[in-house]
Amino acid sequence: MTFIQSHIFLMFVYAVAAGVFFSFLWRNDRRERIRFFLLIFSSLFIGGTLLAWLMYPFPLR
Amino acid sequence: MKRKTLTAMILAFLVPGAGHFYLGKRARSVVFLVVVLFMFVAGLLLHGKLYVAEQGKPLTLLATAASMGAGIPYLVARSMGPFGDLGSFTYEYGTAFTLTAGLMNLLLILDSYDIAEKRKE
Repeated sequence: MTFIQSHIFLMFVYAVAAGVFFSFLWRNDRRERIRFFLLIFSSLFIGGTLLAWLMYPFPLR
Repeated sequence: MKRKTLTAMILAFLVPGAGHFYLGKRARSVVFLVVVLFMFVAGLLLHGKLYVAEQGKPLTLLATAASMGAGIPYLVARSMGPFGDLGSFTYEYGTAFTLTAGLMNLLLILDSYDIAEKRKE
């Protein structure tokens, strides 16, 4: 199962799980939950990807 | 602290979502159970580390406390032996998943308290 060895896939799964969790924890209304989920998910997934690209110029060693 | 509050918090600690189930938040409890259990089990399957406090390594205390937040799933996993393969490609992710699951459950304990004390819906 090579997709499990994909950073992007694992980051996506983590973002979905965290988004679902916090949207149910901190919001009661369905529409609010969806909106909050999208906020959390995009912050984690897109934010993480952005951060990765920002770190790209820096050498590993 | 009311007895109902304490019961909800203890249940929340033992089983993810159980506190919310006890307080009548059935749909939420199922979501929390699924998400937290999924994160915890996925973390172990990804060869993440299941922290145990180690002598001379104070940060492992924090990590152990976070992992133990998962409640009974942590105890079950501990009884199944050591987890964590440093050489695995998914080690860091697995560890992050497991720690996050424990921390999520700690948040659920606090949320159970708030609901039981009528500080939130």
